[in-house]
Amino acid sequence: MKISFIEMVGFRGAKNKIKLDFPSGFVVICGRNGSGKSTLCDAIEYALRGKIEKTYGSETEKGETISDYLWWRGEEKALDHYVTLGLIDDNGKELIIKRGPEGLISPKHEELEAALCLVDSSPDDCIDHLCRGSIIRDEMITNLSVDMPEAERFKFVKTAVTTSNFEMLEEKARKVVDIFNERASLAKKYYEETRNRVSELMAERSKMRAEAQQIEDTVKAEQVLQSLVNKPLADVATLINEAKSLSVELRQQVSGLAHVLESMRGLDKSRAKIETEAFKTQVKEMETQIKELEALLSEIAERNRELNDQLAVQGKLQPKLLSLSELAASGKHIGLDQGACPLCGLQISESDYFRHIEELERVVEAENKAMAMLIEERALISTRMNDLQNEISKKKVNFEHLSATSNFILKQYENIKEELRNYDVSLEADTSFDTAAIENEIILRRQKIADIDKNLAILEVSKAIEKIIAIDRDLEIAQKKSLEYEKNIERVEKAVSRAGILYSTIRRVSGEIVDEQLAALSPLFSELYFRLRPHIDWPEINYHIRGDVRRFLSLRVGDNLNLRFMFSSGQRRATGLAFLLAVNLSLGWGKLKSLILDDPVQHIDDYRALHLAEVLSSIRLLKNQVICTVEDAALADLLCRRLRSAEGDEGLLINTGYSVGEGVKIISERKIYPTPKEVLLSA
Amino acid sequence: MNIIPETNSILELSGYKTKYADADANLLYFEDDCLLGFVTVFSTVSELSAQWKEKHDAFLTKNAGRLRVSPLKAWNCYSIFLTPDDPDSFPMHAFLEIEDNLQGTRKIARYGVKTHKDIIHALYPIMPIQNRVALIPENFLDRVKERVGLKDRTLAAFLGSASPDEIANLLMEEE
Repeated sequence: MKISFIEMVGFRGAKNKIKLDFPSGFVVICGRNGSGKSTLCDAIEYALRGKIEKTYGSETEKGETISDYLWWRGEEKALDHYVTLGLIDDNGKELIIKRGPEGLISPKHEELEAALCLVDSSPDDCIDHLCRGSIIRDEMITNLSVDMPEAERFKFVKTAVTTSNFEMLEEKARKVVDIFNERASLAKKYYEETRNRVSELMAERSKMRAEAQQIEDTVKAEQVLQSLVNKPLADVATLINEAKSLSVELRQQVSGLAHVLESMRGLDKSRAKIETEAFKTQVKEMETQIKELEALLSEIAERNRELNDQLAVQGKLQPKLLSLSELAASGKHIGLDQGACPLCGLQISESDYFRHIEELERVVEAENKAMAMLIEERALISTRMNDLQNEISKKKVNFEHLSATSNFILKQYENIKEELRNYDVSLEADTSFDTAAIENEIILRRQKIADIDKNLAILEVSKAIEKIIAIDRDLEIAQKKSLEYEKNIERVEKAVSRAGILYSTIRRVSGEIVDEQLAALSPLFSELYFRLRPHIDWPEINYHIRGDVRRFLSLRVGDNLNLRFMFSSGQRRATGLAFLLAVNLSLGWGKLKSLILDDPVQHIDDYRALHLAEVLSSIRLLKNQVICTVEDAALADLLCRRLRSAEGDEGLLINTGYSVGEGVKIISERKIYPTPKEVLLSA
Repeated sequence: MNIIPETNSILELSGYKTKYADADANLLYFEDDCLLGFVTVFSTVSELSAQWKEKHDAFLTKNAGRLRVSPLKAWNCYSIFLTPDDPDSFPMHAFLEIEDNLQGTRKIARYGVKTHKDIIHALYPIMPIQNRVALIPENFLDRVKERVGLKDRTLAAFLGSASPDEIANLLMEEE
C-alpha cells in the first residue's frame, strides 16, 4: 500500500481545500517554517489513525492537547472539515480513508486494519504501531537523539521495537502488587486488632471472675429487692432497674422529708409563739378595745345626729331672727311716731317702747348664742369621731395581723401534712407536729436505700457472671476471626508473591523481548548508521543495555564510548534517524510501503545531506514510497535527483506557502520524470 | 580476492548493469535507472591518492558526450576508488578530502578493501539496504504464561481489560 493522494479542508493550518496526487515513487515537500509541510504529514497521520502523536505521549498544556487544534481555528470559518487519504496497492486497488471531526467516515476500522497490516501477525493497535514506525518526525528524532536520558531512551526504544503494551501491563501488574501490599497490611492490621481484642477480653474476663468470686447469696438479694420493690418482676435485669429507680425515689423522699422536717421545726417555733396566754390575751383585749371604741363611737355619732337636728331647727329660725334683729334696729332708729309704735300704731310710752325693743334684741341674741354653742359642740364631736375611727382602724390592723399569723401557721401545717401524705407519711389531725415521727421515717427510708444498694451490689456481681459468659462468647468469635485473619494473611502473602512474580516476569520478559528485538534490529541499525556516517572516526555503533528494575540504553562507539558525550547534536540526530529508519524498515507485519519524514534534517552540510539522500535512495530501491518534507530548497533538489524517479514510480516536488487568513497553500507542483535508462552503457 | 570482478558481481546482483571500460580491466562502468559511475582499484593507498583525480578526469572527458545526454542523471555520477591496501602513515583526512570533493562526480574512496563485505560496505551509498529484517510481533503472552504458571482465566483477565482489583481477586483464588 502506498499513498495515492491526500485531500483536506479546514484541517490544521489549511483553511481551503488542498488536494495532492502522490506518485508512487517519492514526494519532496519544500517550504519555509509554518508553510504547511507538517500539516500535510499531520493529515496523513490523522487519516490513518484518527489522531496525531507528534511525540510518544499525550502532551497537555492548560488542559488542551493537540486534538483541540486538529481543525482550522482561523478567524474566517472553513467551508468544510475533513481529511481524505487515498491508498493504492500493487494491483492498483484503491482504498480511500475519510475522517471528519466526528471521526472515521469510511471505511470501517477493520477494513483499514486489514488493508494496512497483516492482521494475523500484527499487534493490537497495529495502525498506531504502523504510524509510529512510518511517520518519522523531527520531534521523534530529537527525542531519541538529543540529550535523552538513558532510561527514557530505553523506554522510547522499547515502544519503538516492541508491539506489546509492556508499559500498560507493567503498570497494571504494579498496581496489582500495590493492591496486595495494601491488602496485606490491612490483613495484618485486622489480625493485630483482633489479637488486641482477644487480649482485652481475656483481661476483662479475669477481672470479672475475681468479682464473681465475692458472691454469697444472689438469690437472697433478689428476694430482698423483690420485697422492697414490691412488684412481681420477670427477670433480674428488670428487678435491678426497678430497684435502682426505687433507690433514686427513696433518696428523693429522704431529701424531701429532711426539708419538711426543717420546715416543721421552723413552724414549731412560730406555733409556740401564737399558743401563749399573753398572745391570746393580747388578741382578746384588742378585740374588746375595738368593740368598746366602736360603742363609744356609736354614742358620739348619736349625739352628732341630735346636734345636726338641732342645728337644722336653728337654721330654720335664722331668717326670723335676722328680721327681728333688723326690726329692733329700725325701731330703735325710727323711735316713736307721735307717741305711737311706728309698726303697729299702738300708743306706747317711749320707755316701754325701747324696753320692748331691748327685749327683742335679747331674744335675738339668746337664739344666736344657742346656735353658736351647737355648732361648737358639733365640731368637737366630729373631731372625736375621727380620732375614734383612726384608733379603731389601727386596732383592727393589729388584730388582723395577729389573726393572719396564726392562720398562716395553720395553713403551713396543712401544707406540710399534705406533703407528708405525698411521702406516704400521715399525721393524726389533732396531733401536733411530731418531728420524731418524721425523723423515724427518714431513718427507715435510709435503711431501705442501704438495703437496696447492698443487694443491688450483690446482683451486680451476679451480672459479672453474665458478662463473663458474654465475654467468653465474644472471645470465641474474636479467636475465630483472628484465625481467619491469620489464614487471610497467608493467602494474601501467597498472592503478593504471585503478583510479584507476575510483575517481575513481565518486566523480565519485556526486557528480553526488547533485547531480542534490538539484537535483530541491530545489523540494520548499524548499516543505516554506517550509511549516514554521523561521525567519520566512528563508523560502527553498538548499543548497551544495563539495569534490571530500571533499564537504561546507551549507544556506544569505539571502545565503549558513550556517543551522548562524544557526538554533536547534529551527529546524535543522524544516529537517531538511523534507528527510526531501521524500525520503519523492519515492520514485517505492516503493508504500508510509504515512509513519511517530517523535516528529518536541519542545518547539515552538503556531504551529510548527500548521505541522507543516498540512504533514502537505498530505501527507494526497496520500492518503498518516500515522502519527505524539507525546509532547504537545495536539499529538496538533491532529494529529487537522488530519490530515483522511474517509469511508473515517479517523483513529485511540491512547494508550499502560507497566506494570511487563508493558511496553507500549494505554490507549485513539479513532476520529477525518470532519467534515460542507459547513458553511460548505451551502445 | 580480485576486487573488480567481485564488485562487478555485487553490482549486477544489486540491479546494476555493468561494463568494463575498453582495454582496461581495472575500470568498471555501472549504471541503473537513476545513477551511473565507475569503479577502479588501486594497489596501494598512495597510488590511489596520487592517481584518483587523473582517473576521474579521464572518465569525465571520455564520457562527456554521453553524460550531456542527461544532465539530471549526470548529477548522480559516482567515482569509486578502492584499494586493498591499509594506510600506513597515510593521513585519514586525505580520504575525507577526496569524498568531500563533490566537483563533477560523487566520490567514494576506501582503503583496506579486502573482502566481499568490505566491497559491500564501500558500495553502501549506491546499494540497496543489505540487512533487512522483519520484526515480528513478539510472543510475549506465551512467554509470560509459561513462566508464571497462572490459570488461563487469571492471565486472560490480566492481559485483557480487567481492573487491577479484579485481577487481584483472581490471584487470591489461585492455588
